[in-house]
Amino acid sequence: MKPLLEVNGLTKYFGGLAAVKDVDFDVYPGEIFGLIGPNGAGKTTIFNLINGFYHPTSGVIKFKGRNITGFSPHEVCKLGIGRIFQIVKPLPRLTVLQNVMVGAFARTESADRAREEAERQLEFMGLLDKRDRLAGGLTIADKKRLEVARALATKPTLLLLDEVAAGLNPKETADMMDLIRKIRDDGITIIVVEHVMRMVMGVSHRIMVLHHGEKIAVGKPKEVATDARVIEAYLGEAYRA
Amino acid sequence: MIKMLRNFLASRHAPLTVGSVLLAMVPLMSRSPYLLHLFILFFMGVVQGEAWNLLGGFTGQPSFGHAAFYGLGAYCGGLLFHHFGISPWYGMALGGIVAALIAIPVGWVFLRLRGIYFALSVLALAEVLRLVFLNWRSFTNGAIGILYRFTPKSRVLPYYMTLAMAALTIFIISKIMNSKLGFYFLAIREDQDAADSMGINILRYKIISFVISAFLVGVVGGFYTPYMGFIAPDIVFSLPGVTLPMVLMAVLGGPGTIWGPVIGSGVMVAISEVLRSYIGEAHLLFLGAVLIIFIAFMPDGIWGAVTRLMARRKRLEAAS
Repeated sequence: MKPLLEVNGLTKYFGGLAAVKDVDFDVYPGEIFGLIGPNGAGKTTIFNLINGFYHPTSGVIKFKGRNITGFSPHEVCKLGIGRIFQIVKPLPRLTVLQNVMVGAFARTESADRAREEAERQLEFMGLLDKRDRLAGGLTIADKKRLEVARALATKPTLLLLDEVAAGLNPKETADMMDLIRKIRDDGITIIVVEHVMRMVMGVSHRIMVLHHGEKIAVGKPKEVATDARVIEAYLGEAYRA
Repeated sequence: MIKMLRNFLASRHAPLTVGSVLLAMVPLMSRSPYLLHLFILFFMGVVQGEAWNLLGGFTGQPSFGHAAFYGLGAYCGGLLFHHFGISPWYGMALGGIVAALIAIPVGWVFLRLRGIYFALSVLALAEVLRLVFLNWRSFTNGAIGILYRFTPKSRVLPYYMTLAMAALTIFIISKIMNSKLGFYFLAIREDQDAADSMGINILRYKIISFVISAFLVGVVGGFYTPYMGFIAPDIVFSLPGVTLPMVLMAVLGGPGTIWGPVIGSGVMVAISEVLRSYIGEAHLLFLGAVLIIFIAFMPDGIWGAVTRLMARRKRLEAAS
């Protein structure tokens, strides 16, 4: 099977500091791909490079076989990569429905069709009853759901989820895991960046571990969890037993 | 028949249509030149306030230099008359087009700046244009300005022209704000990074907003020349005289709302006329203070405060 996303030799320097250094990985269609690593390992930077907020110092990113290195975020979105942010970015003074409609407009010119699509996504994310609330007044959990609904409304084939479980309680985290699986079952490939171990170990098919901007391991969750370098770099003493 | 009427009154276009029809009857009741003049200033203000608000209120890109487009619009007709003896009324359409054409490259450069830096760069543009028009005497007649002695004898026609412009502007802007374009403007105002990652080419849509805004202001500038009969760089490119009132109309009335600038323009014309007769030029000082007070204490303007109070009353009623 051909990979959906191919990343080769991805490197990003900020001044003299390498935030991401020579990272290679492929993501296959239908996969949930986990991206983990300690704070500052370069996870979000990789998302920003794929999504087009940053341009890599060197390296190549291919999506559906097409070189998208250096594309801007709106071009990347149009090609089918949706992204949700670690620090949520709702459009605070717009309603929940309007927020998702903005996303839906990426694929239609008609306001009626955008509304239909937005309502469908809100129903899927369980937010339909809050459609007329202002997005700025939602709880963190709802804001995260809103971001996912908004990204889904842009009809992505690849979805980048940046710490959707951060700040959620265990029940909300479990719900989010179910939703992520459902999204994948609808045929959307997903990359998750996550700190919540239970979440990332539970949903991912494969996991890549980053440390100081470098790839130190990639494999099935079990393999990664037992890798000596990973344990040392990330999981720490407590997991060694 | 009654049902049709009721449906119409409940529709979105009712306030605009009813308001326009009522205002259209004013000249039938009074031909007082002063009264009609005040209404004309009000209508001009509506167009300018709505234009500024489209960019500053809805798209979130406040400009401190919209006098640039007003002046360009005014000088289009002025220069046509000065050099070729052509009626400056043609300057209205031409003024809008020239303002829009200038706004494209200017926006392409300036709209990469965010927030206050954009606002100030447009201010600089207006000042540069003012100085160019002041000093390029062979072309613009410099500080002496351009005089057009054939201003309309009756104010009835200008009244209807500006009323039509104001109504059309409100109609078009509410159409825009209910379409994809409007949603994209709002998204850019709320969060540029989020908008970008939802597939919105933010620079392109900011330029579209800027160009529409500049066009409308250019048309009003184009109307000013033949209506008032005299223009000079210090009048039509003026920061306190042109840009400040435009900003005030939107901010005072309610930025980011359709009806805010209408209220703002009404309040502004009333305050200016009253104050001008008492304290002359110093009324600008007063307006500046009003702007500061509104930004600090009533950031959503008069219309915003009214809708907020109405919403609260509704909630209380629902609760009781």
